[in-house]
This record gives sequence, structure tokens and C-alpha cells, in this order.
Amino acid sequence: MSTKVTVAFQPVLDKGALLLGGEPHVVHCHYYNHFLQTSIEDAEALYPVEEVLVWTAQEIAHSLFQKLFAEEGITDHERRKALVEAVYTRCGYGKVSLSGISADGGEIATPYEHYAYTYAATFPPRPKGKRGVAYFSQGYLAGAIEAIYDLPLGSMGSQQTACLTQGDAEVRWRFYRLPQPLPLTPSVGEGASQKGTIFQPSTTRVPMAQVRDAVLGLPLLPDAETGLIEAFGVVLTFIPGNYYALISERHLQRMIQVAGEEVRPLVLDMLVESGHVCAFNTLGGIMQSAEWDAVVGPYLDTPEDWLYGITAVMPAIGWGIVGCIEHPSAQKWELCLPNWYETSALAALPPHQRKMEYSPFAEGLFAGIMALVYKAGIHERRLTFDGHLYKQLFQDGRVYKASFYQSRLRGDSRDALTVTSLDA
Amino acid sequence: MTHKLVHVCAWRVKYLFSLSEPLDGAAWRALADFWGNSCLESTILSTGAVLYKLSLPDKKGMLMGSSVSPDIYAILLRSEAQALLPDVIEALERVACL
Repeated sequence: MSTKVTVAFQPVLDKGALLLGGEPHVVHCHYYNHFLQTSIEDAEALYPVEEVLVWTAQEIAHSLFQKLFAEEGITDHERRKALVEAVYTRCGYGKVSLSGISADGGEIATPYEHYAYTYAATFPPRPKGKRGVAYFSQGYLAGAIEAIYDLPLGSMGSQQTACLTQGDAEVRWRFYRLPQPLPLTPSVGEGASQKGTIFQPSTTRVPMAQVRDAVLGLPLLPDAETGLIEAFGVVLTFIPGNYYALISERHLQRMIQVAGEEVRPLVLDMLVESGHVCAFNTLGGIMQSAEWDAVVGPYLDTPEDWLYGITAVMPAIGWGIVGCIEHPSAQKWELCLPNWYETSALAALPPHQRKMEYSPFAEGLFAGIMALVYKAGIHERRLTFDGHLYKQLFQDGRVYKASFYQSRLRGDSRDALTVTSLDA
Repeated sequence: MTHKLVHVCAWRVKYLFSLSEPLDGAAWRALADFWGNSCLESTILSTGAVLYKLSLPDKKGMLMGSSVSPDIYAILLRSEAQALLPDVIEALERVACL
């Protein structure tokens, strides 16, 4: 018997958040997902990276589905499985069937999983024998299985046993009960989320709330066959923001544990770079898309309108409300972030449990947007997004740098940062 | 009509085609007719603009545009792009002349 299940994100307009099962979800593309994951995975000789990449997803999925099952009043195991399968696909993770799963575990296999499918299609082959790339799904499904059977968090072990990136025809995971639960902690959910007001500057015609509402109405839906979301020329996911925030934070903690404080700048630089990757691929893809032309295009008079336009998109993809403190220029852009999703996740942790003092991802992201507008000139010519342009903007020819001067993670009431030109 | 390569990676390429004016619903349906087994979806946005997405057969790519912009984006499988590009140009030229 097939069960029809509808899954819908709940936009929270005064936070710029998209909720599902009490978890804020954020939109990112496969380039960002792989950059962040691969950068963390590169430390596999220093610490067991699965404990960060898999366990974090397991914690969040367990909390998410516990809440979702309670909200929907679903107690039946088959209906719970159907809901997990539907959420998995709606979020763009791919297609899975949990028919072979019981309270003791089992196997799940699929030819369509976001990380594996996009890695195999986009990047050079991984070395033979290296484990698969579907860390997130592995943990997510383990946590979901625990929730389906009302098992304690951490009681389900998991292993990826096949991957498209190893030449296999499918991605496959094995799940099994553990004699002792893993040391996992429930998700912080909305964490230290804060309300804000959508920002409408007087210096632009870009109607910020109208852009947000139009983007919320875009059909960012998965393909019926693959469960993957293709839009803007990239492949998108709705992944819980807590996942990105916590894997970044936990990677920093583990690196400091094994290599000392001197490793901090290296990790932070990597996270800044992840912001560049996101600006270039996700936001660059958006700014050269039919959706952008339709929604924001009619209001773009000046280069600064491009900055306002892209910040108006952010609440609609779950990143939080973004305000411009002063009218931007090619030399300086000053922003406030009342509910940045990474901060809201990390500020919910006791101060002694976190090492991050601000969002390095946001620093790279907003510097990256400035580079797209003022260095590459996306407002006056259509760009060709390729490795050459990336190098020009963010490596040899990097010209913008951002810095937080207020941070909720340092005790301030809000996050605020300035992007400045290195040429000034 | 002009076109430009705007995104390239190992998997996908994205071309931008600039027409003299936006295509209407009838022109998009004519584009869909050009390829058998293509799938045309339209979405009315809260701004009143209509967004069009034409998925090409066999997941070889998609064309996207709107009722308010003369620009059309073609996102194509890189391995198929060389073969598909002349068809895309021919189809767009044909409907632009309707």
C-alpha cells in the first residue's frame, strides 16, 4: 500500500527561516556541500571525521523526526517510513526506500543520493578504496531509523558500503544496533534564534519583502525520478542549518585538540573559502538565472541594487534576515545579521562548548558577493563562471575581505560585519 | 539573437540566449513541441511574472526563461552540449520569428 505524504517547509518571516520538524533548513548547492565536506574529510588522518560528518547528521535527524512524528501524530512504523522517504526527497537528498529496515537495522540502497551523484558527475574520480561521500545521508538515515522505532539517540550504528564515486552502480548503507549508544546530543533546533525586521532601504527600488516572497514561491522542487533539485545551474539541497554550523564548529574543535591553537587560522581560512565557493556558485548562479531576471531584474539600476537584491533572497532560502547598515559602495559594505543561521545554532551552546567566535563562512560569502559585483562586474556584463574566474576573484586577485565587529558568539546582541576593499 | 556561455563545469554547461523580447506562453509551447517528450512547466510568481522551465528529453538539460525577460538560459549536460546547441539555437530562432 503506498502512502501519499505531503512535506512543506514553514517560512518564519520575522526570522528569515524555513522550518521543518523544528529544524531551520537552509538552501545550499552541491559545490558548497562538497567543498565543506571535502575540507573536513582532508583531516581524516588527524581524527575520525565520521564522528563529525555522520554523527552530527544523526543527532539532527533524530530530533527532527521525533518532532515531526509528534506534530503529525504518526505512530505507525510504515507511515513513519513513508514520511522519512518523503522528507528525504523533498529536501533534495535523493530517493530512498526504507522497506528493508527494521528496528534492528538493515540496508538502504539508491542510485540517487545528492553527495554521491553530484560528486561523481562533477569532480575527478576519488582514489580507489576511499570510503564513499554520502556521510550526511548515512547519519541522517541512522537518526531517522532511531526515531521511527523510538530508539534512543545513538543506538543505531551505520556504515556506507557502496558509492557511485567508487564505480558502484548505487550508494548503499548498512545500519545495525549498537550494544552501547554513541555519545550524541539532541539538536538545538531553532537554537538562539532571534526575530528581525525585513529591511527596506530608501536608496534602492528593489522591493526587499516582495523579492523574498517571490523567491519563497519559486518551485525549488526535486525531480520526480532522482529526488535531486536542479535550479540556477547547480544542484540544491535543503539541509538543516545546524548541520553546517556544527560540523564547522566541531571540525575546528577537533583540529585544535589534535594540533593546538595555531591551527585555528588554517581552519578559519578554509571556512572563509567555503563562503567564496558559495558566493561564486550558488549566488552567482542565482544572479545569472531566469528566476533572478524575473524577480529582481526589473529593479536593478545600480551595482548596489545587486547587493540589495541578493540580500533580499537570503531570508527566503533560510539564511536569516540581512540588513545593510549604510548604503554600500565599491569600497565598503556594512551589514547586520540579526538571525544568521550559523550563529543561532552555535549561540545555543554553552560558551565553553564552542570555539567559533563569529561566522567565517559569512565573511567569505559577503566578500565574495562584493567581488562578483565590483571586481567581476556582474551588473554590467554576463560572466562565465569557471575555474579561471574563480581564481581571478578569490585567489590571485582577491580584493575584498570581511570582518565581524559585533558577534553574538562574543556576547554582542547582534552580528555585524564590514566588507572592505583591500585596494583602499 | 546572441548567446554566451555563462557557466561551465565537468557536468553541466549553462548558455544565455538574448532575444529581442520575452517569449510568451504560446512561444514556450512551440519550443516544447520542437522536442518530443519534453516537459514544459510554468509557475506564476507572486510578482505576476510567469517562470517557464522546459525539461529536454532524457534529462539532457533544460531551458528556462520568464515572461518579463528576453533572456533564456539553457542548462545542458556537458557531454551532450555540442550536439544539443544547434538544436537549441534552431528552436529559439524558429519561435522568435513566430
